[in-house]
Amino acid sequence: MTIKSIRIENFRCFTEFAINFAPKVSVIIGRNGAGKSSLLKAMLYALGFVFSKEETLGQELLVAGNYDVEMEPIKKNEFYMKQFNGIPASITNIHSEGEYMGAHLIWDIAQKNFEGEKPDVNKYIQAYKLFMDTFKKTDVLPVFAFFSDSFPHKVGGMSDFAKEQVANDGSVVRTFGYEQWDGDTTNLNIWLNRLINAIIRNTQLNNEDEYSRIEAAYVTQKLMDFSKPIHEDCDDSFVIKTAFFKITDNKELELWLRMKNDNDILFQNLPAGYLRLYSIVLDIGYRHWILNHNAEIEPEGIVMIDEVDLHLHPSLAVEAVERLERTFPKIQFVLTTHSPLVVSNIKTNTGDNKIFRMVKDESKPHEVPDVYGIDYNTALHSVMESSYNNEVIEFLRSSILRSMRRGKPDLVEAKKEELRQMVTAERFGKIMADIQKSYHDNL
Amino acid sequence: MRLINKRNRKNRKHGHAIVNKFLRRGWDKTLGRYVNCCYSDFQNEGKITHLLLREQGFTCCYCMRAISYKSHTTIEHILPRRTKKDDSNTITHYLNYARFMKRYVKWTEEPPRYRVKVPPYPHYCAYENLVASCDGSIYDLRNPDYRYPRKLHNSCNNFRKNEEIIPMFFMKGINRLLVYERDGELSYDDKFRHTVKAINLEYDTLKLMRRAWAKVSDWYSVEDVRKAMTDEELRNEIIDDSRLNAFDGNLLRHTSLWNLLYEYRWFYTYFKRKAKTHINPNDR
Repeated sequence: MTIKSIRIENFRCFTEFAINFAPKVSVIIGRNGAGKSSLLKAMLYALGFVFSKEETLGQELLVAGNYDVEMEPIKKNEFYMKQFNGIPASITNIHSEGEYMGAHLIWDIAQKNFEGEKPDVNKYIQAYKLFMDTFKKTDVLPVFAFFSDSFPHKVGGMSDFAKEQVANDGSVVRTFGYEQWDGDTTNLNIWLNRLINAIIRNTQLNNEDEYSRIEAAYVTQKLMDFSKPIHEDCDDSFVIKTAFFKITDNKELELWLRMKNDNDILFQNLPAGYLRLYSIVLDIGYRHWILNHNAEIEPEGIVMIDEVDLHLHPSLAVEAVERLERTFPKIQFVLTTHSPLVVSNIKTNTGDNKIFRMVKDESKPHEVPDVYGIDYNTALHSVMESSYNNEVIEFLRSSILRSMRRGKPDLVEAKKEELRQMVTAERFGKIMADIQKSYHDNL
Repeated sequence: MRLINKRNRKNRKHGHAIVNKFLRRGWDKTLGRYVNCCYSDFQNEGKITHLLLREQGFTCCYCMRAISYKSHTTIEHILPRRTKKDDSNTITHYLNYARFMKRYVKWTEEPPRYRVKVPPYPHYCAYENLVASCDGSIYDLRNPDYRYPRKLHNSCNNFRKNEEIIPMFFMKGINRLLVYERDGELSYDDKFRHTVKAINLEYDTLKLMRRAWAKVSDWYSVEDVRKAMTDEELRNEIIDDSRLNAFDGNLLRHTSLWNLLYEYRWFYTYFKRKAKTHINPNDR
């Protein structure tokens, strides 16, 4: 499933906002407060319609038998606060268009700002029925996952339903793959425990469960694929060779990874950057496995990652997105970042990937042109709109003044042009006035 | 890059005389083994360094920095001194590289266990296996402390350690195979890629030096650059007139980087000559 476009009205910091996503990777940049995280949050609400348990939807519900996942109503504080004269907005609307195995879905999540209200069923019932029909035909469920900036440090609890499913072998409920898909907390423990269980079943001689053998192999393979570096100069000491379990003195089970250079590391003790990336891969891989029970098809669906460059060294930040793309070629990624390195390594010329810059209080994002391969400084200045080092500006200012005093007009023009490209028009005018003043004072 | 001629009869004779004397003196007849005959003893004599420097025109064999006996000079072994005996691939790679290497250099322990018959000479002190290189103490531009001199190993000999390289400076016509561009970049054949990486010739500071010389050489002479080492006004004028961009100019106005620029004055002649002859790597 891919999401093609989304239009948001009266939600968090947006009065009106519309965006058309790229089919593969959409990277969203912008200053703090531009609304990057709010956009991801709106997408979560939009995708929540498949988990609706409304009675009017009919007899067949997707999440039947799953007690944990449900469609969340929009919270009171997430309505736009100052519509007119400080009165909160009375209705919020998220209009989305998407595609799921060839079926074109259009739906709205509209909710009134009153106590106990839920999103209007009539606005998404058509899309829901089309979704269910397509699912019955194709038997493929899309992966939905959201990784907040506190992933994977904030550990959430495990419900009784989840504990039951972790202990299960092949007969796990398929929609268990949507467990805590939109939460801020991590559900890493669930997948780790299940992986250990699967590995243990493999070691038993009388194991007749074909399922667990493929399960452990599939998930470990995804981790191994992801851990291989793309560029030569990236550190390759965390390339995974195999995963295994150990029993501690307290009779607890732990998942360990054996690296290329035969170092053994406890999964939770990985360096923070690698822990986050590997956890993301483990999460997506496991969700796909549980949703589809099929290692043959590539996972497809929508994955949102807030701050994809969190904890990453530049050499890894450069290729993190490329590695994700390589491991999950059919998944649509929506990422936010503050790193120029991530931005300058996205290939946008094919049209599969796009970079958007969001500006506060604007109804559309700016699409950034092809910036693949530009260097760090240029990315920082022109794409991220960060200002130049003051020392350089000061040097250029003194250089212009010097050339004026020496009577070299062509040199002055060249330097002026250089300065104009570096700073905003307002600051340029200020600096030039300053130069003129000190030039005439000293005549 | 500058061609180093190891086939010059006069230099070879001189070099062999130095090594012969060193080995003869190191042999203790009564003990029947070499005493005080390690590389450090050879290096301390200093004669060979003077010879190598003169042979290379007082420039580093890799980065073309001006070096003298008392500043930044180290002796580079083409076949690395710490090569192990069983590392036969490395040994054959270097010794088969040129005829004079095969004829005059061989691998031995340091010091040799038995008395050696020369030629071939032990690899750690053979004249043919040695070139003079700088120690790579060039400032790091990304480090905010770059204005203060300190001991760094950012390129050349000490950066290479024991990496396997192609001794490019022995190749005739190397200036056509490895071309310094006016924007500081290097154009070279694909087979040099590992070598260039191993000695870090594409280091930011080195690029800055080459870029700066390409522009400065259009307007000023080496003598002007030397004068500007102490004359800050002249230095600013040179930076302005050469149309260096603001980032490069802002870096070069610091004395330590300007002094470094003067040490890379070999590029002045290079870019002057390049402007005349239009050397293009694709023309070969």
